[in-house]
Amino acid sequence: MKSRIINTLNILWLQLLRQPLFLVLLLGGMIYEGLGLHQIVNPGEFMPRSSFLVQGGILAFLFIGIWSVRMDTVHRVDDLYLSIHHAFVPRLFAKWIFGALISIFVGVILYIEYAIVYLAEGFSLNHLFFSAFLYVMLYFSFTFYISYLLGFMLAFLTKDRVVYLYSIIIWGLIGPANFIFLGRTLQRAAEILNLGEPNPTIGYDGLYGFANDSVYWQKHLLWFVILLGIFLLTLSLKYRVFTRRKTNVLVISLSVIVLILTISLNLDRQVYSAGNARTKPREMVEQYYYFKKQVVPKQYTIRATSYTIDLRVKRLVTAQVNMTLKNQEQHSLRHVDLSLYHGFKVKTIRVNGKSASFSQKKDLLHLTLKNKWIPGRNLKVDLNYQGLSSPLFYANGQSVYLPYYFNWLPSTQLSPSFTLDNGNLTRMNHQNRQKISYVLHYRGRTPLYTNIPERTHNEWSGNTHGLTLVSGEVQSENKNGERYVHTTNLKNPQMNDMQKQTETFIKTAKKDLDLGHRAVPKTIFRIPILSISDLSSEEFAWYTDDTLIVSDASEYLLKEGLDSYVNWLVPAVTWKYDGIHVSDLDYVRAFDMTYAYLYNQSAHSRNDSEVLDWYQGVKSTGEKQEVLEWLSHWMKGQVAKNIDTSVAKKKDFCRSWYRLMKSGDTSWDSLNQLLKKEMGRS
Amino acid sequence: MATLKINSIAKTFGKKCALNDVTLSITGTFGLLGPNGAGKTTLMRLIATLDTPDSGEIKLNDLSWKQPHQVRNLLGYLPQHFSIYKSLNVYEVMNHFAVLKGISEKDERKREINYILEAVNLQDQKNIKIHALSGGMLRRLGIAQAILGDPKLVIVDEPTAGLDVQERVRFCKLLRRLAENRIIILSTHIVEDLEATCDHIAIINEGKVITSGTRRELTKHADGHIWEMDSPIDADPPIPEQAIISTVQQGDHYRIRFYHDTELPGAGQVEPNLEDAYLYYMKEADHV
Repeated sequence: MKSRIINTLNILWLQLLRQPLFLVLLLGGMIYEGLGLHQIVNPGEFMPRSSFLVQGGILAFLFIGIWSVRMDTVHRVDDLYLSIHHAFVPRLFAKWIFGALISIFVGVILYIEYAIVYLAEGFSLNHLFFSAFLYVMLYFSFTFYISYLLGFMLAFLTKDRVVYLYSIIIWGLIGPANFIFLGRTLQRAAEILNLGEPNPTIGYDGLYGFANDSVYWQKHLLWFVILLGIFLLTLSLKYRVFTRRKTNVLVISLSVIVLILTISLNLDRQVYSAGNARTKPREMVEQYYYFKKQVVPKQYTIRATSYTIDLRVKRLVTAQVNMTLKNQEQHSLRHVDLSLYHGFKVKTIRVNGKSASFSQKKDLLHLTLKNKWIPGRNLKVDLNYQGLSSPLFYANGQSVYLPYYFNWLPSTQLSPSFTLDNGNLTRMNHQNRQKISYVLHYRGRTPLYTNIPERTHNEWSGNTHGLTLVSGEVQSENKNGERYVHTTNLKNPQMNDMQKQTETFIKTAKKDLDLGHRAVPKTIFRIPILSISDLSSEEFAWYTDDTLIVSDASEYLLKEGLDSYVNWLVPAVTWKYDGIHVSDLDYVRAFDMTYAYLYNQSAHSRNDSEVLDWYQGVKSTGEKQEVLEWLSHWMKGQVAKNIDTSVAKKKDFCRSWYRLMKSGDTSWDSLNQLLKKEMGRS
Repeated sequence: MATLKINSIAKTFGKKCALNDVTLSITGTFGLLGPNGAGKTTLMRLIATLDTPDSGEIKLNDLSWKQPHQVRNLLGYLPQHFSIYKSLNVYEVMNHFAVLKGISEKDERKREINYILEAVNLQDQKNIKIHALSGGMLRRLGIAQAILGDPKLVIVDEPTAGLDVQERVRFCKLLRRLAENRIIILSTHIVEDLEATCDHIAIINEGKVITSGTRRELTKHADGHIWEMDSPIDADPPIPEQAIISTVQQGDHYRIRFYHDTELPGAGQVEPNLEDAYLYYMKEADHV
């Protein structure tokens, strides 16, 4: 059997190699890839954009599959092989193996070309290249193999030339560009049938990495098992290769596998889904949800002092959290409210070791206490919950982004996870005001990057304002005790520049705005956390004493000047850090814009006054309009000569402004008064 | 010597009865003769285990065709339309079939392939690609793969169809040479092929065996019924069209060969050959 299969493989290989068309197609594919590699400078971006290469490959492999059958039917040698003991079936199995080998061969060739080009361009050989290999195996090789088998089965079942027509139809249905053929109305069908990149219309997500999720492997496996089942049944029924008993065993076994895979594929899971051509981009899911009114109860002064977390992140997030709460109110409480992202469904809650009744509505968890909770006393709350994280905060086997400001842990900050500001999704900050003790046991994708130290294998502990977990297509560099976590698709991670610019900014802003304690955090995450529709600059960076998260994974952030970076840092290290809440986000945006402009003015000579047009673009009336107009004129120097327009004076104003914000007064009226005073207007 | 016994075989495809109560005893080189659609290929396919009969049985000594896997170990088969992968060369094709037939030891395989290629006179072409072979060479390659592994039963279905005369003669001689110690069943509608090759012949028509026997036994049946006479070119032949076996022009007249049960004026009786006998049988069958 073995020698028959090996020899058949050799014969098939010789024939394929002697087909000029195969070599032309292979070479054409490599040239096409080469052109793509030349144009797309990032190794992460290339793969999702290679959909047309996959689409072409699918057609080629459909035809190779047909060829592998028709080479016998055309020569009418099927009967000949059937008349030879143990020739027909081994040859067919050899063809299945051949399809797999040739698919892998083509995939490997294309991968080698990819790797050589990017490594030669200076990218370091890191995990991205391993992920890219898996991606090629899944979306090139496995997809090509299924295409081959589809072609094979078509020709095996239909001896007619009509198989070529069928194969063209199948080509249109299963490729990553099938939405072009199926149109918008059949988008769901297009997603189910698509065996290529699941997000062909959008770019690469540097944190999530390639869509190598297990679900896509399972999907491919389901196709394979179904095709294998049809093939074996055909052999059994048409060629009587198996006994009736064996056939029954076969049918039952394959049915069970198909059933298991189908059930598995239909389970709830989080996958990376984005792009404007999709039915429901991930940010839209949340926009729909938070468009509805959220429950925000009275905020009592209670605080969490410790968390012990047993966290499992696979298909679902499964958490067992033991937290200690302290009542800092002046009176006893009969209930406790906590916020928790609504995707996590709480199963049980125990309070001081006894099960407690609770209700979960949207992002709010309401616990009813059996006994009074006396001021100053601690309360032990144990929670079990499971579910899916927000599509904007990954938590699955592929990637984890659970930052301190997201209420993936039950939080005493009762705001919902998101809010809508003029229709735009805005993340709410659940940062703790005091440091909290955390103990974390984690099972999921590794390596895991956190802002607390790892004590033993899979156990982290430490004190921080909030726990951040990051895992995915990222890597870290350590220098002088500081850790810089960045995506693997950067040619030059710019660690030194990043630290230097951050340090300079924090030092300057601290002095300019009288911020109090601020320092460059020990851990800087430079990862894309945003989706394509995130527009607010305050969403781009998040800062605590030990963590800075910067949403940028491009090579250009620090090359193009500091403007954008400073605009992100201002809100992160000022009002977001200090937990200042405002009803009108334009108020803090005006502050961000003004101080960032002044910082850039003093830090370098670049003229970025066009950013000041923002003031005129904001819809405003009354005091707000007056403030914005005066700010615009003053920053641009379009004021009376007796008004001091120096940067130093404007920075003084910003310091006073920030002090006003910290005092809790964020009204436009007060700001207008302050502005008049600082400008010397009556 | 082994004898292949075919006993009361019947095979129907839908409403069409392809074989009806076929019984044969086959040894040596055996020819199946019959018109197109007579059931020859169906019978060959049954013997080649590619199909199963509706009733009846086939046996080679004690081996029944109900155990097709064991039968296939003894079989060599050359299908009616033999062609093979055009981009391979002769040796690669032979090697492939040798491996499929279980000749796993490389040296043994090489030795046997070379021996057979020598026997079928393709040794000089062993490195030539299939697409460069002539029709005759391709048939010789077909028979070469069929006799790989020294099968005891070789089935050759219409092997000379489409070959020129020279190639046909060469191929028949080759079959004759290979017939030693094995049963070769040759199906054809070309009578001359059987004359040169087969010891025993069965004539089959409309799914039934009309007769079987040695060449002599078959021709004997037509003894006294085959005649020849001359006929002027410009005159209508004095014989009914359906009785004429052949017409050959000889100078200013035709020499007409025909069958007739009684003597006709001007006609001389001749010794029947296989073709005469075949046509005579077919004529009889038509009358029945």
